[in-house]
Amino acid sequence: MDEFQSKKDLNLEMMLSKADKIEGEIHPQALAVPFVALPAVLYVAVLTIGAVELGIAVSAGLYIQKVQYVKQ
Amino acid sequence: MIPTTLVFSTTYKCNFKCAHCSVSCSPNYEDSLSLSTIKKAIDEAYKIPSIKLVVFTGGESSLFPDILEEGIKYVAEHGFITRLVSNAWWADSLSRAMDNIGRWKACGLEELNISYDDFHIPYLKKYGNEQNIINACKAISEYGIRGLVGCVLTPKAIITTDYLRDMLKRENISGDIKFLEDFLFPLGRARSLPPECFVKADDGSITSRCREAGNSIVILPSNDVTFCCGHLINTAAQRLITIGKLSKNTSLSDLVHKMQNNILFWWLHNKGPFLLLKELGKSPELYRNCEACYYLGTKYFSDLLALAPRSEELLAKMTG
Repeated sequence: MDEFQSKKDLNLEMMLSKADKIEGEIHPQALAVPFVALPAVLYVAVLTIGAVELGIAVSAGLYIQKVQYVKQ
Repeated sequence: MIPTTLVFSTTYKCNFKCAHCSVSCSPNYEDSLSLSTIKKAIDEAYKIPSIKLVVFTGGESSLFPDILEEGIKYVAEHGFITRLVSNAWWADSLSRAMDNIGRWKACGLEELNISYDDFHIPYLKKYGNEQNIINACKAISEYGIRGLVGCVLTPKAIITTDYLRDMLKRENISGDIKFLEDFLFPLGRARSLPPECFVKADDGSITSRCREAGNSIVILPSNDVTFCCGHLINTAAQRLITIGKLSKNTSLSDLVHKMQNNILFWWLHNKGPFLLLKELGKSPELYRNCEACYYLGTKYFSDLLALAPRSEELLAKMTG
């Protein structure tokens, strides 16, 4: 198929990087998702830990006792 | 488009004449690649660092035993991984299977691929029926080389990978033997089979780019070199995938370099033949991706050539 021969040398790396993505290949954006989602994941984790700590404190009566002390 | 595999399609001669053979091999062919061509190609492939694997296939390359054995030896001496693809006609007794595989292993063979499916059954009758496959697998296991049994499927196929797994289990054959199945491609002699033999690919491969294009460099009995080990070899569409011819003045490296500067080949690799048909405004019914290349190399070949003056435009579409 000499009719399609390029007049100048093609950049091999650049040409390889231009291949269409097809099913089964990992798209670079898929790898970026954990980094984008990290702050949100941390925020949810902190909220959850806080809620659990508060729950433990209330169930142990610590929070109520502190309120009673302030009243006295 | 970085070649990792060099394939010697040593001959189209085959002692079988399977109805599904896309290369249309048969006993009527006589030609074979010469040992000097194989050696010259290996000397040149040695200078292309990306090539790691060398495959001997055909046709049935074991019908030319001297060329095959000397070829394997030369390939192994140069540090390549060696693979032979065969129909196992030579395994009609366990001792013959052991003799042949033992000899090939001594030459340096590391992997043996056996082709066996419903279409091979009528031709194996002349030798040892399915016992040939069992003998070959036993010898593969005994010698500790890698093995693979590949079968081509139709919707009603008896021989499937499950069937083969059960067969090896029943015979207590262990070892490094893998199985591969693929559906039938309507190319070569298989184009004459009835439509109910074919299954349309539904995995998106028809419209995808061709990852195989340019990864395997194939040297044909005519010394022509193609950039794809697919199903177009020895068909009218072979001209689509032909890079050039090995000769005194044209080395394998020259042809690889030529391939890597061909805009059409890059298009097939990066975008696939389906999108090229679309560029031409054509939409034939396709069962498999290689069929798209078949149409580009036959029915729509003149349309494709008319696109050649717009090569730079195609390149811009790929790189833009």
